[in-house]
Amino acid sequence: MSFAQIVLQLAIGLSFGLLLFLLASGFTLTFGLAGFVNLTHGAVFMVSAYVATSFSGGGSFVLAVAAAGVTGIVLSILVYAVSRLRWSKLASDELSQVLLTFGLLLVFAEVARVLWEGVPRSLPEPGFVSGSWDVLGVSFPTYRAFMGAVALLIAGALWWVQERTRFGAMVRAGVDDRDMLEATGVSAGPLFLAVFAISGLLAGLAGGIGAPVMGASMGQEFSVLVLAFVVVVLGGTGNLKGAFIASLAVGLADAFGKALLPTFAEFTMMGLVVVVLAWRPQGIFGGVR
Amino acid sequence: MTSFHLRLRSVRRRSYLGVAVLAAAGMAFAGCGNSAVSSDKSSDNKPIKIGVLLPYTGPFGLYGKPMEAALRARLALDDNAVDGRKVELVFEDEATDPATAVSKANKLLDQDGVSAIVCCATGAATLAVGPILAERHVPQLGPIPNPDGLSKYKTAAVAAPTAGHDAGKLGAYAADQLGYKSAVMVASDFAYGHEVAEAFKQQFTAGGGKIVKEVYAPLGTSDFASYLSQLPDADVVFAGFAGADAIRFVQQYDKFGIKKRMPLIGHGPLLTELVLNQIGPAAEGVGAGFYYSSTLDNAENKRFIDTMKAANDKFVPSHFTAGAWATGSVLLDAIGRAGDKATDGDALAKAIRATKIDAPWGELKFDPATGYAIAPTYYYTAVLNGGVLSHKIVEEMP
Repeated sequence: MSFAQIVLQLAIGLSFGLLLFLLASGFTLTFGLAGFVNLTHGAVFMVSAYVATSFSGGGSFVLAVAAAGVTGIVLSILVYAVSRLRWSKLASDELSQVLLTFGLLLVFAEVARVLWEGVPRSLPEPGFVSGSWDVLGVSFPTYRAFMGAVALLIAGALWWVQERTRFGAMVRAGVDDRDMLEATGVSAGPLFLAVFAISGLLAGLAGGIGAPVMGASMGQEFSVLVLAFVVVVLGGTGNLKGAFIASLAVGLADAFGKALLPTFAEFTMMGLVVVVLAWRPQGIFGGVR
Repeated sequence: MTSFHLRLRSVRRRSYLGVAVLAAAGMAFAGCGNSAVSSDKSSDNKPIKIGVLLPYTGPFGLYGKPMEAALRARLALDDNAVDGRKVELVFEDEATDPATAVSKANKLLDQDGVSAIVCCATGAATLAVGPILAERHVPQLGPIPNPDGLSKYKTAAVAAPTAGHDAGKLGAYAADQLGYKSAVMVASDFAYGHEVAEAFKQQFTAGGGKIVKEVYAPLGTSDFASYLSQLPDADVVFAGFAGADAIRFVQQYDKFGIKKRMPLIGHGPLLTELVLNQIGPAAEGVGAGFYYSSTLDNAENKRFIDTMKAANDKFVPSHFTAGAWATGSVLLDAIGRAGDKATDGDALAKAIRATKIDAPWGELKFDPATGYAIAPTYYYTAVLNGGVLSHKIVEEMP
């Protein structure tokens, strides 16, 4: 593999990894804070991507991404509202969570099929980043660099909220010990609602920003969910820093795996999971529980 | 907790009752079906029933409704009748699933008493239903290119050439007419991708071409970037993708600058009307070998598109709907020639294989040995006119 090829694969892997972080960060937050396995996350991504592609007929790109983000928030709050109906049972029982959210995932996917007739769709990239860079004899689409930069910006904002605000401190406290947090007088309910909304927003933005590359299609609800799971397993539940590193690792493993061993491309990512689980079952950055 | 249990129990009791009612109804229906079959033979004015298995749910779910509309529209043109005898269609959902297709096929046979079954749009479902219909001596008619493997059943026929047939023709055409000496093949890593890649390779190498590299990507790959960046230089790249994968592949092929280096050709679904305008300008100049294109200039294609557009102005013609339309023509023609024997499965199957009609892609007849259609195969490229992409037929491939 030539130097130019290595740089190209790095760029492909990092830009995809950053997008993956947007997708997985919301998933890991609800998982870590509320102990809630939200399988609808993949469907939220897909529906948001479909909403974004509805703006492909000359609409503005910013509007498309914003609409995707709003869709994510609405769907995620809907999931929270449905869960609230039987919260006492769901909160402690992961099997019930999986059953409920899997059902909702199927419902969301079916609604998307009816609305968009199951046809795979695309969103054209905005004009100012529609070209390609030619460096060292290889081409790299400008949009992918833009996508990575936007994802990095959102990740930075998320880090700031998590580490520097009172709200972030409450979320972190909730991840570590929810009972203790409630004992100090912080009600977990509104906190959960906010985390669900943020989680949906992140998934929606990922769907919108990713649409010019990945598009929107049926089946995506499962394929992206698997990716989110891999990141959470690698990074440890509720751990944003872990999710960030894990996303980049998965992005790079995917890029180099496809380039070097195309036949085993699906295996490289799962190979990474097996190695990490054997070495640190709680995830690379997961604390001791 | 107790109230929950109580409720659960009452729900259970109600559902037992429901099952009992359903079972009773099912038996009653089965009875009706049988009597309908037996009385069919005594009277020629009874409608002849044709079962149709299409995917309305599952990954292929988007094709069910448009195909049903095309089949209904074709029969409606002939007033749903052949020589004064009504032809009735019974539609069922095969759910893109072979097991569902089998149980629905049995339902059509036992409860509805159909004389033939149109099946299916999904390759695996088509092959799963094949042996059942062969055993019961009921004709099976495939509406779109189905995988090889139905030839062993005398009752089966497919109103389209196999995917491998068209890809093979493209392989020979690429070597002989387009003058390519070397090719890279990239295809979906499942039955369809391997079938078209193998067929292309065989004919391309037979024509003196050389395959430099073969890459198979998993079904549902959304990012082909890393595969693309590793493609070695060759005269041409052959792609075997369909659906969402086709959109992403052609888009990224352009984005990563490979299109400037090597031309791209593929089997029909890579460029079908359903994906073409979602791909966007990246599709311009890409070539494909296939038996159908909506831009084919013939009377039957015009009649097909005009009829469908009159009912629904947003209709997008594709080989799925054109195939359903041609299937309707085959049924009407074969039932007419079978005459009094149309309810005799073996006679109707024979009549179907002997059919020779005009389909939207030209003359349609069947290979009497295999039951697969013999149809012309065209080479076309995607052209951009005023922001809208369409096919430009180059020629019929020899």
